[in-house]
Amino acid sequence: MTEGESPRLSRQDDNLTPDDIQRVRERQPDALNAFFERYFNRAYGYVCRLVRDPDEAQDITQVAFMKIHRAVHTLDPNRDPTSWIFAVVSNTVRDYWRSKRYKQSRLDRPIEKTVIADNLTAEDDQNARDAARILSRALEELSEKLRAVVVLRDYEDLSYAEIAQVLGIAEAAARKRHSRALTELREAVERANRIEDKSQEP
Amino acid sequence: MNQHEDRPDPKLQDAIRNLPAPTPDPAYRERTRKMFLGQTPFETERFDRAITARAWAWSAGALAAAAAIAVFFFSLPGAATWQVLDTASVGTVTVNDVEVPVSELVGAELLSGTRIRVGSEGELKLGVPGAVSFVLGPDTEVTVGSSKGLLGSPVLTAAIHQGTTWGTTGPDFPAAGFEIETAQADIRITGTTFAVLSDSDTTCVCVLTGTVEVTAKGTGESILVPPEQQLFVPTGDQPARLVGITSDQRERLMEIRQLVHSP
Repeated sequence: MTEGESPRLSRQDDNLTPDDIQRVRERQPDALNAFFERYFNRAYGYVCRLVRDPDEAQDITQVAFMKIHRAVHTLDPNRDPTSWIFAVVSNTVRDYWRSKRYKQSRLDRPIEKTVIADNLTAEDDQNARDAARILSRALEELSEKLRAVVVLRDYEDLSYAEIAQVLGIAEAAARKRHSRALTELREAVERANRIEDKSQEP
Repeated sequence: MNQHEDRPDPKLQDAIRNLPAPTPDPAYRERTRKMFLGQTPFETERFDRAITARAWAWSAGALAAAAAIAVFFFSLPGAATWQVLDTASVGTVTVNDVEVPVSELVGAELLSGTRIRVGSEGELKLGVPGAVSFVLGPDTEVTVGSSKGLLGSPVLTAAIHQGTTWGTTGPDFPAAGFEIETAQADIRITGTTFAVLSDSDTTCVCVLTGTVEVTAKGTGESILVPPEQQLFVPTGDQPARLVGITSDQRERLMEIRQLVHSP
């Protein structure tokens, strides 16, 4: 996709047609339900990774979907709504970070919980679990700005143009943030692996 | 080469992609699904009210329908047109279905019938310098216009299709005031800083300074909303309820109050 080009309904895995979106605009129950099923878990996962608190993530995602619900009639049937969805969610997260409640929660309670990589199956081997745990921890330690870009790019598979739209930044800035994030993640994972190797030395 | 130039790392990116996704609690997910489908109301009281935008649902000819239309009428001396005064947002605004960077709009005069939609981030400030300022919040859509009033004086109008607006009047505002109409209430403002939020069930009028006269359509009662108070006017014959404004609302209205004197 070239710079400035609007995202189109052309992804291989995108099943939303203009007709689907029009039915969502009209708030037809089955269309709204399909829309919810398509985006809710993704939005929740994104919020969880950003705020790292499952209780707050529940509230934030619910507020975001309230806003989405109220604005679905503005959807353009000829545009993929994914970046719009994530823009609304991102803005809701940003409002939360600016809120008094978030600032107070940082004073009251440091966030210790890891909300990622807790549900690996029993079949996954120990090494894979450790690797996922280290990567999850490294991802959590990124700044919120960098973490958002990584999740949107590498987990949600958004283009840099779409990420720029979601976060309200220039596309070049999205690329730079992503690159910086990968560099920091790489260094954090290498550091954690060195520490783990040392701790296992006889 | 700058160390932050784009350096993909396929192995690391694959590892990120393969991280298991946080999954929502099933009961919470189901509750939210029902809210989204309109089967139950949204429950967001735990979240700060200051960051929860209340959407205005509009439809054309809404006076007889469940949705509400708020229409502002102004009488201003001399030639007066809507202008884009300033903006705190980045990104784009849709003007008559065309996306325009906000930076290109500042200082622009808006022709009658111009329809503006602010995106889900940012705000847009409209008004007449010295007389009135309006801030359009995120996801707000407005059509601005002008017409001739009594004695041929220009009258500014605005129809709010959805979203939230805040307004304040300034020293050049005429004594005639202006009127706002929603499905639940007729609102007359005579020089004040206020906010009006309306949806299909309730109109809320928040006042920082000055007074606002509200006539509840359901009961016919007329209420003067004094400073630092807000009035909830429900649909139907339930009485209106007057309560104090919150500190977040006061803070926001005080910001709006500064706008009329801003360049």
